[in-house]
Amino acid sequence: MSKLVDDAVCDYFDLLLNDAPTVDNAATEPSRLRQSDTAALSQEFAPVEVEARINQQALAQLLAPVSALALKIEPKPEFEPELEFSHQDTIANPAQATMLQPQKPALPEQTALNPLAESNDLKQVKHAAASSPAASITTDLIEQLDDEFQVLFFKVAGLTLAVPLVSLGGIVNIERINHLMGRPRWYLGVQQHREAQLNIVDTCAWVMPEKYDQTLAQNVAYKYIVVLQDSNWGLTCESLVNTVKIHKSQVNWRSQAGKRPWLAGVVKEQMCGILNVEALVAMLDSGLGSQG
Amino acid sequence: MKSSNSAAVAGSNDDAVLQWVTFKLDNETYGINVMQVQEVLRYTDIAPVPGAPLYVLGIINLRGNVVTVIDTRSRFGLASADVNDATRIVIIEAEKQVIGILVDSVAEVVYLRRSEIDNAPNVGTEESTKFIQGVSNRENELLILVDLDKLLSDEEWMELTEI
Repeated sequence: MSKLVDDAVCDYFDLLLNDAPTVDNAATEPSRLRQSDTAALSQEFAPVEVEARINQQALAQLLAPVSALALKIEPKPEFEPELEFSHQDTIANPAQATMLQPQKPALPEQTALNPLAESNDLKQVKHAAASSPAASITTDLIEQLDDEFQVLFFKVAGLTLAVPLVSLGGIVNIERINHLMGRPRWYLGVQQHREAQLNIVDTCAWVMPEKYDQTLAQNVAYKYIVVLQDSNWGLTCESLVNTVKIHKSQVNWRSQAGKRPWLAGVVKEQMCGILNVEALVAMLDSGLGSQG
Repeated sequence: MKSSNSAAVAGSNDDAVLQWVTFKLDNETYGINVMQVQEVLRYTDIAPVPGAPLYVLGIINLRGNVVTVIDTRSRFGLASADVNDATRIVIIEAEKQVIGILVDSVAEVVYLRRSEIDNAPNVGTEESTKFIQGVSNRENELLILVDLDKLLSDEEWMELTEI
């Protein structure tokens, strides 16, 4: 990784850390633990630290739509702890969470099924997620995910991003992107995909526009498109790293949507952002950049 | 502004077939309604007009008539390119005016059903976003359909009459 890219990535995460969320103390409906979650918990007795596993089979399935072009998948995640994330930025004020605790219905009965399974971190996340209406999108994502869920890690300009597999629509090779005039800089154009138009996002330009100068643009070599859910949006990436099964507690979920609702949180071990695809698609549909 | 899609129609009204003249600009293929195309000329010298807007390359003499030629690349936000053997001036009629548009090359006339035309992605606020009235997949190639009436704003069309 070049020094230029290093600097860009570090600056980018510094920026993320300084994204002070707007404080909104209005309590919303607390997050509910799904029955499937508790079932999974009772089966797995998931420890707090779930060992990251490379699921090559799942990755192979993901890549099925990709044509014969050989994919160079890095054999093992080589995440560099380049950055330090502030827990204050991602986890709500514990005092605030404690205040709201009595308002949570039904949870004691469900958690009693497996008191060991829900870590303190996860409890904290749920309290935090329930503490603000602005976090409802993230709350929805947390509720949608099983306690253990798979994510795909992909890289762009040295920056690693994670997308939950439940939010992944597929991966396609970059072939021919048609440029459309008058579009924002981050909009690369359209590529045909399954007889439809896929809108291609220049991920680097969208995520860190302030760092995306001519030099950085020349260093980025996009190869794949990560299709978002069932939308017609795709994020460009340089390489696919792997798919890993992680536990919810391994993510520092953002308690506030803030200025970047597309960022659901940070995967602690890999120190990379995890995408809130639903929010991201909504922003892209509205033509918004990453700063909103 | 009037819609130019009413012409060049065949077949049933609910899925009419439209004819489009396609041309190339910077490796992309664009289509314009065939009914708005009067003729296609080889490149000829374009006389610059002092004080003309930036989007005007100049004028040509077409059988005694003066025709203003638009810099299509600049209008589409593309870098300028050298003229070569394939360069053409497409004479079109839009907003009751006859103008020329300079293109890299002219390809063919294609037939498209209305149902084959998709809306262009609604992203972007630049003026040029309005030029695209739709896109269509054709033989694994994207055809970008241009609304010539929106190539210039009302004020710019008025401005052209005064050149």
